[in-house]
This record gives sequence, C-alpha cells and structure tokens, in this order.
Amino acid sequence: MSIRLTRIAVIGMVCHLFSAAQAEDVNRLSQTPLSAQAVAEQVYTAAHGGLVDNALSKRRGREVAVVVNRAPLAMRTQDRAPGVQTFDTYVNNAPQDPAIETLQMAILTSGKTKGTGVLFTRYADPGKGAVISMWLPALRKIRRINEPSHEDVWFGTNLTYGELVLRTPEDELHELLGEARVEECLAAMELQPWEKTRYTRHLPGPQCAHIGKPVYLLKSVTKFKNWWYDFHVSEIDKRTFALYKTVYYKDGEVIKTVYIDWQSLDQPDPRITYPRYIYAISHQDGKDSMVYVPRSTISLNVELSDDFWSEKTLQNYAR
Amino acid sequence: MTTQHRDYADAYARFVLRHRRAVIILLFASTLLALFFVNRVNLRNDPDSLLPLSNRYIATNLYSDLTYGMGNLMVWGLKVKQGDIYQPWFLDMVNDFYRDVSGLEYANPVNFVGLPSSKLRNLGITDSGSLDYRRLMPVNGLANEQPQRQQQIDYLRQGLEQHLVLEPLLVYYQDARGNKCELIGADGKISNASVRHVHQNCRAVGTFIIGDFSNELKDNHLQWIDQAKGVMEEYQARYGDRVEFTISGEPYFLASMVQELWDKGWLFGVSLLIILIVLWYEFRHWSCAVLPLLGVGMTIILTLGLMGYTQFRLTTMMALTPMLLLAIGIGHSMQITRRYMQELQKSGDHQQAAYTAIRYTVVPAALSIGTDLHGFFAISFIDISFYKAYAYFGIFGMSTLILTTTTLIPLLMITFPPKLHDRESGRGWELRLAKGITRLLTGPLKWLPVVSVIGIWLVSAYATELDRGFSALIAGEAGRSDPEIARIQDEFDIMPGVEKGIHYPRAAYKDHYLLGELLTGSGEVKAIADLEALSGMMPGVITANLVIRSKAGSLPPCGLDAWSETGQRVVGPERCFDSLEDPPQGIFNRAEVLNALSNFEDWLRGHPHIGFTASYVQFVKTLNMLLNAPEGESPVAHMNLYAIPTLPHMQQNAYAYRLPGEAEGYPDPDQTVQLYNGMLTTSAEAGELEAFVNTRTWDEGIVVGFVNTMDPKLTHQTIRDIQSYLQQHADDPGMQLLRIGVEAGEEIQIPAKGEKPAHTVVTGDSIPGKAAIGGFLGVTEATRDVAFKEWLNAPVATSLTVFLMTLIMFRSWMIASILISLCFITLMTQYGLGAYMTSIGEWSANLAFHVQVALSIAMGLGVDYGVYMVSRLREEMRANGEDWRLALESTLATTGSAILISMLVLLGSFIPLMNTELANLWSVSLYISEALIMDVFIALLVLPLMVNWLRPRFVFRAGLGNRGVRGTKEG
Repeated sequence: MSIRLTRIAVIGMVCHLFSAAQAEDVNRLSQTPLSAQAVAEQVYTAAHGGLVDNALSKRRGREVAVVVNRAPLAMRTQDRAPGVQTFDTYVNNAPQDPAIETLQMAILTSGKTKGTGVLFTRYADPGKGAVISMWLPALRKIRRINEPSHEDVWFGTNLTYGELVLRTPEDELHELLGEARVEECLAAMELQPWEKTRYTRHLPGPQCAHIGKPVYLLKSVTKFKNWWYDFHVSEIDKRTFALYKTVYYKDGEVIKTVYIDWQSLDQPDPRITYPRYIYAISHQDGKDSMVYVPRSTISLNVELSDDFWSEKTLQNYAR
Repeated sequence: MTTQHRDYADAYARFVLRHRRAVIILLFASTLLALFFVNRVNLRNDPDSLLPLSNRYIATNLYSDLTYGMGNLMVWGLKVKQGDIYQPWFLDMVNDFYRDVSGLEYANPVNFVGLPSSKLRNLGITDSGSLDYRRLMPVNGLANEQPQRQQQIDYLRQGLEQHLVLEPLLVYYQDARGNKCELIGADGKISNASVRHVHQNCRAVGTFIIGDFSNELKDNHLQWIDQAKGVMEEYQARYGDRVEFTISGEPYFLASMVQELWDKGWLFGVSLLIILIVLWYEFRHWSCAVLPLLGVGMTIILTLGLMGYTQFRLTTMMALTPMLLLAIGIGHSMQITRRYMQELQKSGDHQQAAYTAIRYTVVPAALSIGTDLHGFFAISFIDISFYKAYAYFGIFGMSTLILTTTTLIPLLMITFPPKLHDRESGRGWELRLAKGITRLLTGPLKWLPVVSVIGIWLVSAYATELDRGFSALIAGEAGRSDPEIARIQDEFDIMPGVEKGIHYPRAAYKDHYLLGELLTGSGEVKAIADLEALSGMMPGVITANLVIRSKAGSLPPCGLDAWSETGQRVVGPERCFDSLEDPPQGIFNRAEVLNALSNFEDWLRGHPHIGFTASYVQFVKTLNMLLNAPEGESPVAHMNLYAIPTLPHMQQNAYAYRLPGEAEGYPDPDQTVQLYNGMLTTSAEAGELEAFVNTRTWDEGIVVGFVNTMDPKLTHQTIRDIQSYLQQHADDPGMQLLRIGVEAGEEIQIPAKGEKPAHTVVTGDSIPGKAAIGGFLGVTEATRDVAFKEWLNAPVATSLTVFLMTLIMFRSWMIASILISLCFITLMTQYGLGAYMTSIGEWSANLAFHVQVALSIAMGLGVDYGVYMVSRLREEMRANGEDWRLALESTLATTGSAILISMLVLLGSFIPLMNTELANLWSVSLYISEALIMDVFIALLVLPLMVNWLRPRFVFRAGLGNRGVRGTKEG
C-alpha cells in the first residue's frame, strides 16, 4: 500500500523560485582562483541571496507562471495530458521586522486547489524553523504546517525540497573537477502533440544561448548516509555562479539531470537574474517536470507594505 | 483385426525394416534437433495466465494489474524473539533490510511500505502547534549518538502509535499469552478506544515490509529468487538468533516452485532407475531394459523440444507430461519388447522377430494410444491454458510413441541383439496370479470383488454427499429459501461434500513432505510455514481488488484544438475537459461517492475474513482529520474527523467545520474533497496516488482488501458476502453512480510485450448480476467457477469420446457400455477421494481445478486396461474353444500380468512427482494413481465377471470359435 498523507506544505515552496541574485562582487570572484568549497558557497549564495527588496510573479494577460509535471514513461498514454498548475508568487526580502528574514507568499490560481495560498515566514534566527501558513479556501481556514524535509518532493515534481531550498554547502563534500565551457543546449520539456494544451503550447524549448560560457565542473558528494544520490556534478557559470546543469549519480549511474536557464532581468545590476525555467528529468523512469516563469509576469521592488504578506491577503486574494 | 488392417501393418513393418538405418537416423536426428530447444522451455508458473482472460474475475484482476500495478506483492515478516520492535539494533536491521529488498531487481521502490518507508509520516503536531508530518524513521537511519538515537526511537513509536493507516498494516501486536491483538475494532472501525486497548495491553513484536515488483520478474524468476533468498539468508545468519524471518508473496511462491522442480530433478533419475530395474527383472537383458527407456526418452525430448520451440507458457504442472509419457511409453515398450522376445524365442531370427513384433503390435498400439489420446483430446477444449498444454503436448508426445517404441525398439534390437533365456516361456508368479484370480472369479467367492466395488462406490457416494446434492436438486423452487440449496441448484453441485474451490498456496505446496523428513529430518515446507506464520500476524495475506468506476464515464482532456489562438473556447465543456477551467469531473471528486466507499470499506473491515483495506479514501479521510482538527490539538485526538466531510458529518462535528461568522454555514463537501484531491496530487511522488486512483480522470479507483483466509469455502463465502453487500447497497447515495469490477462484454486492451503483440480481450458473463472482484481472492473465485464448470463436464466429455472410440473399435454397444460403466466407478472413487480430502481439510488434494485434469487423464489411461483385457479375452476364447475358464486364466497370465506390471511401472514413475514439495504434482499423481489402482482392480476382478454375466457377442461369438483360434494363433 502506498500512502503519503500530508506532504501538503510543499505547495508553499513555490515561493523559493524567487531568490535570484548574487551577494558579492562577481567580477572579483571570477578572477580569483577558488576552492571547491568556495565555489559551492557562491552557488548557494547566488541561489538563496537577495538583491531586490521584493519581487513578484503575477499573471499578466494570458501569461502566467506554471509548473508542469509529466508522468513516468510507463504511465504515459495518449489520453494523459501533463499536470499543469499556475501560480502567483510574492517575495519580500526586506521585511521591516528584524526577526524575520524573508516573507514569501504563493497563491495557486488554477484547478482544484485554485485559491489555495501559502505564506512562508523564514526567521533571522537560524535555530528557529520556518513557519508555513496555508489558506484552504474550501474550508475557509488557515492551517500551520512545519517545514518539509530534504527528501520531500517539491510540488509534485521530481525535484526535492532539499535541492531547491534546504541543502547547504556543508551537507556535501566538494571537489573541483576543472573548468570547461557549456557544450550543449540546456534541455527543456519536449511535449508530444497530444500532450500539449493551451497552457503548455508556449513552453520554452531548449536554451542554447549559454553554449560557450565558461563553467566550473564541481563534484559534490553527499554526507547523508543511504541518501537518494551518491554525488552530483554541476556546471557553474564562472562569472555569475549560476548553476546551469546538475547531474545526479547513484551507484555509478546517472539518475537525474536538472537544467536551469538563468536569465537577466535587465536591471542595472547584471547580477540580478531569475530562473526562466527549471527542467528536471529522472532517468530511471523518465518522469520530468518543468517550472516556467514568463518574464512578463515578473515585477521587482513593487510598492507593497509588509502587511501585504499576511494571512488576510491569502484569504482575500481569490475573491 | 481386419485383413485390411493386417495389410497395412504388414506393409508398415516391411517398410521400416527395409529402411531401418534411415528410420533410426531420422529419429535420432529429430531428437537431437529437439534437444536444442529443450532449454527454451518457457516455464513461468503464472496463475494469471492459467485461466481464461474473458472470465470477469480474471479480467478485473488483469485490469487492476494493468491500471494500478501492485500485481506482484511480496511480504517480509520480521519478528523479535525477545522484547519489542523499538530496540535500536532491530530498527537498524529493519532499515538495512528494507534498503536491500527494495534494491532487488524488478522492485518498484515507490510502492514499498515498511517502517523506513517515506510514506510513514507523523500525524501529529509540533510544540508550536503546527502540523508535523516528518518521516517517522530518519531517511538515513538512526543516529549513532545515544540521546539523539533514543529521541528518534521515541518519535517513531509515538508517531506509529497514532498512525491510523499504516500501524494496523505494519505492526504486529501480541498480548502476554502470545495472542494477536487487533487494532481495528469488530465494527471495522479504528477508534481511540480500540487503539488504546492494544497499546495498553499488547506489545509490538513484529513488523512487515511489503514490496511490489514489476512483471518482468516473471521472465527471470530463477535469477531473482536466488537474490531474494540470498538477502534472507544473509540476515538470517546475522540475526537469526534474535529475529524470526518470514517471507511470502506471489513472485516468491511462483519462482520457488520452478526452482523446487529443478532442485528435485534428480528424482527423475530415481524413477528411471526403478523402471530400469523392473524392465531388467522382466527381461533379464540390458538391451531389453535400456532400449525401451531410450525410446521413451526420445519421445520426452521431442515433446520438451516442441514445448521450447513453441514457447508455450507452461507451469510447474507440466512436469507431469514427461512423467506420463514415461509411464505410458514404458507400457508400450514392454509390449513390443515382450513380443519381440517371444518371436525371437520361436524363430531365433532377429529380422523375423522384429518384423512379426512390429506387424502384430502396431495396430493394437495405435488403437491403445488412440484411446489414451481421447483423455487429452477432451481437455483440449477447456479454456484453461495448462489443460490445453497438457492436451497439445500429451497428444504430440503419445503420437510419437508409435515411432520411438513400437517401431524403433525392434529395429535397435537387431543392432543390439539380446540373448535368449529359458524364462521367455513365462514366469511362475504370472501363472499363480492367473490361477488364483480365475479360481476366485469362477468359484463361490466371485461376488466378493463385486461387493467390494459396490462398497467402495457407496462409501464414495456417502463421502461426496451425493444424497444431499440430489435432495437439494429435487427440492425445486420451494427449497430455495435455504441458501445452501439455492447454491447447489445454481451450481448443479450434486456432490456438495467435495470441495471444488482452491486454496492456492496449499494447491501449490504441501505443508509437509516425506522426502524432507528422510533427508533432513524436517519435512516442513518453508513456503507454507512462512505463509501460515504471516497469516497469523498480518491483517491478511491475499488481496481482494475492487475496481471502482463510474457508470457515466468521463470526458477526454481538451487538446490544443479546444481553444483558438485568441483564447476562445472552441470545443465546449460538454465535449472535452479542461482541468484548469472546468468544474472537476470524475466520481472521486464527489463527497457522496467517497462517503459511500468509506462506508463500504468500514463494512469490509468489519467482515470476519477481511483484516484490512487500503484505498484512496484513506488518504482523504486522514487529510480531513489533519486539516480540521482544532489548531494546536493533536489530530488523532479527533479521530471522529477521520471521515469523509459530508454535510451530515460536518453538522455532527460542527466544532471542527463551522464556517467563521456563519452559525449554520459549512464548507461545500464536494469543493472540500476536490481541494484535498488537488493537494494530494501536488504532494505525491510519481505513481504514489496512481496505485489507488486514476489521476487522469478521477473517475475510477481501487479498494484493496487484505483477506485473512485462504480456505476455499471461506474465500467463496467472502466473495458472496461482498457481492451481496454491493447488491443491497446498489441504490445508496453515491453507490448508485458506481459500477464495481469489469462487466460483461467489455474490451480489455492488453499492451504488447516482447514478441507478443497487443491484443484485446472481450469479457464473457459467468456471474450475471454480480460484481467481479480482482486480486488473489478474485483469481481464487474464478478458479472455483472454472472448477464448477468442468468437474462434471470434462469427465463426461472424455467418457463420451472414449465410449465412441471403444464402440468403433469393438463394434459392440455392450462392450463399450461395460467399459465406460467401469470407468464411472473409478471416477466415483476419485470424487470420493476428493471428498475425503475435503473432510480432513487437506487443501493440497481437494478436487480443485488443477486436480480435475487427473479425472480425464485417468479415464483415458484406465480404459486401456479394459481394452487390453476384452481384446485378449476374445482372442483366448477363440483359442480355447469358447472355454471361459481357460480363456480367463490365459488372459490373466498374459495381459493381466502385463497390466499389473504396467501399473507398477507407472506408480514408480510418479515417485519424482510425489516427493517434491509441490502439492499440485503430488495431488494429480495421487488421483491418477488411485484411479489406476482401481482400474487394475476392476479390469482384473470385475470386468471378467461382467463379460461372463452379460456375454457380449464380441467375446462369446458362437460358431466362430475355430476361426478365431486360428486367427489368433497365426497372430
């Protein structure tokens, strides 16, 4: 019997797509020889830091951020369209309360969970766990849920919460394998004609613009025992520390590859980027997932008070 | 024999002698060719492929396997010998064991359940009052440091003890007296009281790991079972002093059966040795002992080669085929060898001896094989794959015996000539036997055999409860108020004392076997011992899959053509479904349906033979409890919320559901379950929900029941109870939207696999108006259905063909009637044997469908003896001037003694079949052996009396005695 009952808080993790920026002088860093550990830390900082006060992704016309999940190969049939979920997100990297590090909010805008909203409060005190408040529109009530674990799946995708949020450089042993250049286009979800719907017809194709960019090749071995992977090898932009490609290995076999297409937000500070898409494919069963955030949905440093990131907003958002 | 026949026989004998070398080379070359295909024999032992896929139970099982998987479940039981399961070393071991078994080839780790499984989550709250759903067992095992380690164990224990779904499935509790404690109350519901009682009075001493494997396993089962056993042995060696390990499951069972067959292959050598000794004793020359075996061996290789070439899916039951060929072939070999030696004795010329032997044996041999074939021919029409396999390969193998024994042996005798002995004129024991029986059958005690047979018949009739069966049949409509009488009438069960249902594990394996006792001192069969141990510990060891679908059906998903480039809906919601825009479709988005299923599950859990159930409804109920328990309070303290949120339920538990600011406002039940469905979809791993609900349409799902009995009577009762519940509640709210199981006339698409192309199965309707249930319970019931269809039909069909064959052969209605009547006596004793096995609960040998094949085969073989005896009696009557006493004595001395030896050889050849752990081979051998002993008894002691009393003209043909004598003497 297969029962996983309450992996509900992962809905809240949609917020974590938004954290793109670099905290240090990347030009200086790119000219200095770095240790493997230092590269790993820079990647972490690039993915988790914040150079904007707030950022939001909100439906604009027919453009909206989507998560697309496609079933494993063995389960795919012609009458099975990939699962699609649209969402809006709001990230506050500079709350006035010094005890709070970030406030993140996500609201699902389609399907059965339409109107479900999540407020994710991360505290400055690293010892204090994050709090997730979830608005359940059908029940018209808020429930608080504790933070998921590293291995929990993220939003029904084949990505884990650990990969996107929890994993720190200290959780792995790093080895710099060398430097190279991006040789191939970053893969994207390629749908069969019968799998396309109006929500997925405009999903981006493979991104080839990164070809030729210099990258670090970093091997990271997990410190967790009996873990779902043994190590992964990552291609990391030497200048921006953007993580383009991560290949996971278990027992000597490639089990998963994650591609991230980092794009500029056309800000004066070129370090402010965002993940246009994340595409992850599990090689053992062929399941793949893609998160796509259209550029037109993104706004930065919008005039919003901290009160906006509240349970009240969640309750009223869909009304 | 007619002149025409003699001419054919003569021509055939001359032809094969003229081309002796060519015939020998051709036969050896064919055998060599067949030998190359023997190792390709497709022995896979898959019960799903035994029965007709058009059977609704089987189709439902197939459908649930194809749609939801979980068709190859394994269970490992781990029970501590001292203390409880919350010991660090034990939990570490469980963690390692779980990792190792989920790493076995063909495993679907996502469908594994056990303490270390990621599915086992806390259903509690944190200190701050947030819902806590962390894994109960850390993903990387327990910490090494003591305080943290103990903390983790406490967390696991606490979490497990409040897990409504998985604790009853994964933890085995025992009270101080060693009795099992049940977490689910007698009403089928789990409540704070039922759980508290167990936690206070019982100790958790065992846990289980349930694993799912893919169908590819069936193609590589021997390699897989070595790995699976290797893991068990490793842990047994390390922890055997502290832990009892048990293992069971369909893949293990089936694979170990094939392995058992290979392991006990040496018994085949023992069988050959016995036959060799009997042949040598009979002929006192190695040529006469080895060449018959060589001939039969060639037939066996040719048959196995054909099996390998055709890639027919075979089961372990097919081990019977080479044995039967050996047994029957040796009989023919003895006939031809004896005739050859007699002719050699007369002429001293090997060429002449071979010619005469072939000429005068080929026709009776062909006729005899012809009657044997009818036993197989009749079962070839039965839509059960292994019946067909028996029939096809049995017919082929026996047909080759004409060449490999009757023809080849004399030809080889010319090359390897045997020496002559004085004993060819006859043995003393044969004459003594003939004289003794003749004295009995012509003296005042001649009634003794008849009375014995009548006695045996009456005992059999009594055991089978024939009287009760007939009484029920004649009770008519008036008696139908008694469900048992109605059942007997519906199933035409005239012998209710014989159980025709099947206990699959016991039909596969014996519980004890003699060879084990002799070789190792323990005759216990581990597969059964483990299964019985697990049955005592687990909620259930076989599954009942209830496929739930809507009557209305669902719309296909909208494609690109549903919307224009400008965003206008072109194909409306009445024709396609847009999951992001349209109201959710599918019955699993309706609270009243989920509630009806929940009530159904509660009823199932309250059934005495269903220990547990699992379904998507459990997900929804648990989520409902988690999300609606008052903030800051433990969800399991509100077990009353472990329910489907229908309006009455919400009104009954208003404190949890009432909408803020609205005195009588409650959430919309449908919207609530739709939200839960959406949340569960986005939080599950690939394939996790799909094991229980179709997330494409939300219009179908499955309820899996764990049945705690395999007793054929109780499994049938369980099926009837479920069907009865569904009939009674068919119009309940929610239920009226559902249909359960595959219905008649449905088309099931079976995808292509390997070289086998995709194909469609159309279901029939053997159970009109009743719900078809899948899982092993359904397979068991389907097997019972087939058994009820065939237990009379197959023998009747066989007897009809045998009757016609003997009628044509002897051109005598009376002879044909006598022979078939005597066959019916044997048949009745076989039913009596089945009744006896039923009465003692020996489910390895009740009259289940696999045993029924023995009825037809035994009838085909058994009539041989009658044919030989009648033919010889006629011959001897002619030879002895119509003197009955002399004719009878002479017949018994020759044919009678040969029949006795043939029977002994046949029984000897069954030694390998009777002495493995496999029950199916044992039971079929037992029924055939019983029938043959009975046949020999009747052929030697009753048939002559019948012939003498009824005086058929075929034997007693006045006025033709002298001509007959001459004819026979010439022969």
